[in-house]
Formats: sequence, C-alpha cells, structure tokens
Amino acid sequence: MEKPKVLNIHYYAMLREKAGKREEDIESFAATPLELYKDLAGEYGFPSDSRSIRVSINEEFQSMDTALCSGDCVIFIPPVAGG
Amino acid sequence: MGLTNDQIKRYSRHLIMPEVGVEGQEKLAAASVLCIGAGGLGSPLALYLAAAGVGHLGILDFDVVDFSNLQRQIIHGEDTIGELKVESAKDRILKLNSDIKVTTYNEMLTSANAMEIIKDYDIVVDGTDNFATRYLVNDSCVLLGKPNVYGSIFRFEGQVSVFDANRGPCYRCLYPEPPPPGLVPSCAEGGVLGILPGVIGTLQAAETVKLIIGKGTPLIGRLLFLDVLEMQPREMKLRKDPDCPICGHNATIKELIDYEAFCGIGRGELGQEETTNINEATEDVLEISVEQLKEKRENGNNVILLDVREYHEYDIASIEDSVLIPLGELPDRLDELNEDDEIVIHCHTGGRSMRATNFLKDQGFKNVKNLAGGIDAWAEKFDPDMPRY
Repeated sequence: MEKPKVLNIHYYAMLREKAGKREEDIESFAATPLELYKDLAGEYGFPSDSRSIRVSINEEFQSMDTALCSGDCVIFIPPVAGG
Repeated sequence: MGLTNDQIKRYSRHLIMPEVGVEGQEKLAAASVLCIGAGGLGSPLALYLAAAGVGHLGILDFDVVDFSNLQRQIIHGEDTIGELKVESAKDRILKLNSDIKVTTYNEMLTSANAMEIIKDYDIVVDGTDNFATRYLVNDSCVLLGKPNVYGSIFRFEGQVSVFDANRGPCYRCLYPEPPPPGLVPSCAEGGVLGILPGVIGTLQAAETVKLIIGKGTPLIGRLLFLDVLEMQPREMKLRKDPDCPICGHNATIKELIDYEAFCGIGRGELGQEETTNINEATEDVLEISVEQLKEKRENGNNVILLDVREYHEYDIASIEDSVLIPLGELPDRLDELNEDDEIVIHCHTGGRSMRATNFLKDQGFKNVKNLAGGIDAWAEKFDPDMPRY
C-alpha cells in the first residue's frame, strides 16, 4: 500500500487569504502539484482555474506536472501586479 | 568624459568603493533608465536612481497625484496633489539632483508607443500596476533586447527579478498565462502596506545600478520574494522556458499584440455589457448611476442594495440599508438573495461590483445592476460626511 507523502506547503498572496494560513505540513497522495492544488482548491475554495498559478518546489519554479516527493517544500504563487 | 569637482564631492561615497569607483560613476552618468509608473514602486526607484547619478531618467505615467497616493508614493507631496504625476516626480527628482536629465511621458504605455519610447533607453524598470502593461513591458523589452527590472506587490508581499531574455528568462517564462480578470485584486482593491513598494522599488533600484556598473550578481533567473509581515525573504530559481512564446526557441510573438484582450479586459466585464446592449433592449443595461439609485430609493422602489466589498471596508463606510456579501463569498451565499428582486450591486469604485453583476446575471438573476462609481461616487454626490478611502 502506497504511503502518503509529507509535504510542507506555503501559500502566497490571495491563496494565503483563502487558506487562512501561510503554511502547513500535510500528508497527501497527490502525485503532482496540479493534483495537490486541485485537492487544496476543493478544501479552501482556491480558484479552480490553475493556469495562472505557478509552483515552486524546493526553491525552484517547476511545472505543475512535476512528480512530488515526500519532504518537498511546495509553494503556490499566484501572479500579482500591484505597483 | 570625466567627473566635475561637484560630482566628485556628491558621489564620493560611491567613488571610494572599488566596485563603483570613477569608472562605475561614469557608467551611471552615461546610462539611461525608463521608469514605467511613477507610483508606489516608481517613487523610491526614481529618487534613488536620481540620487545615484543615473544620467538620464525617463518617467512614464498618465495619472495625477491623489491624496490617497501619499501613503506610499513618496516622490509626490501634499503640494502636488492634482498635478500630473510625471511633473510632480520630475520636480522632486531635480530638487534632489539637478545634474541629471529627466524626460517625462504623460501617457499610457500602449502597443502603439511602447517600442518607440523604450528603444531610447538602456534599461526599463517595471513599476506598473496591471497585468496588461506588465506583458506589454516584457514583450517590448524582449523584442528590443533590453533588460526589464521587475517588481510587483500585494498587501505585505513583494516580488523582484531581472528579466533579460539575452541572459535568462522573461516575465512570460514566469507567468505564461495572465490570471482571469478579477482573480487578482489591485492595490486599490486589496490594499498594500505603504512601506512595501518602498522596499521593493528600492531593491529594483539596486538591481538597476548593478546592471549599469556591471558588478555583483543580478537577479537574473532568480525571483526574490519578500513577506514583510513575517520579514521572510525567499529566493526561487527560475529557468528560461524553451517553449516561451516570445523568448523561446520557436517564438511565435514577433511583434506587440493587444494586451488588454490578452488579459481578458473587455472580454469579461465590458464585453458582456456590449453584448447585452446589442442583443437586448436598452433598459437592460448593466449599470445605473448613483442619482438613479437615490431616486429609486426615494420613490419607495424595493431595491436590494448589495455591497460586495470586504468586511474591513464596510467598517470604514457603508450605505444605509445595504447588504454585505464580499465578492469572494458571493458564490457560496447565493441563497441569501432572491433571483426576482431588483438588486443594485456596489463596491468601492465599481470594478468588483461589475464582476458580481455579471456573475449574478450568469446565475439567472434577472434584475441586477452595477452602481457606477460605487460607494465613492455616492459619498461624493450625496454624503459629504462619509469618509472616502
């Protein structure tokens, strides 16, 4: 039986407001950031359209299809345009 | 070229550092930088670049100074409220350093003028406040081969990077897709800590000076995030996207496009209004004025006034007998509204409420209208004692 991955997740900008927290450690079976985002979107009411959201894994921007590993630090970053 | 005695005295703290020295100071004097936006980011940026002795500064902005700008736009002052931002900024810059040249552009950056304006500068610094202009700045810089010093802010969080497609990724490598209109609040809607653009704009100035003097390690291929609430900086590596439509191997964008359409402006809000006007009777326009609303309420019409701002905004000011459902909560609280009621929706100035109006229309509400100008217009016209923010 597959074990869940332990992930450290950070939320930026509007996602932080929606989640009501800056970061959390969770256990997840999500294989990719996209799957993880969809799970979290259901939980926190994130926008379902994830095309403009970027993800950083262990301090490096990656595609939403990258394979997640236990222990990863995952940061979801929506674009902001304020100036 | 040589520095004058006055310049040597003014820049002495630069000159005594080997990383700058006379050579670096002369490079600064010979450099030209275009600051796009004379607002939150543009204020510290332009001031520090002027103080550092950048020989030619271009300042582009189409706005006038407003009282509510002064919380963060420190290049302006109480004495320049109502003046063009570019003129206010130029005056302040020349008070700080009359030795440099300032060119002002009191206009919006558009696909029609961007290449012509940007081509004359060595470096562009992006201090704009909307996605359409950010993509426009990026694409112009990539096409012209200019470095673009990027900064962006939201509430307590800022981002800084240097996009130079000759040496690394561009803005489109970071954000290939603009967000759907309305997903990301602007500073006017979401708020911003006034000091944040001071920090981020100053970091942009530092990156700009580094590029000019050619010292240090520029933020190329790296994005710096700073959360000032936690005071936690974080750096993330960003690689060039080989499939980037403007700087990738098979770039498809060879000239500037329509950025407002690209970012969906006019598709979501105005677009729907236009369609409505064409297809339906004119009484079905989506907006009403504050005067029309007042008349309806005075005539005893049973109009539901729906306020879609945030709770903390409601605490600052509200219109009597309005119902508060913040825009983000609206989809989950539809059962509190009746589809057949006449509903007028307002927010601060009319942007969020237009999105709410379109949303309710899509949900089958028959008689919803957006209050043009929002509570701000209401306060201006009918309630001089109401605080405006």
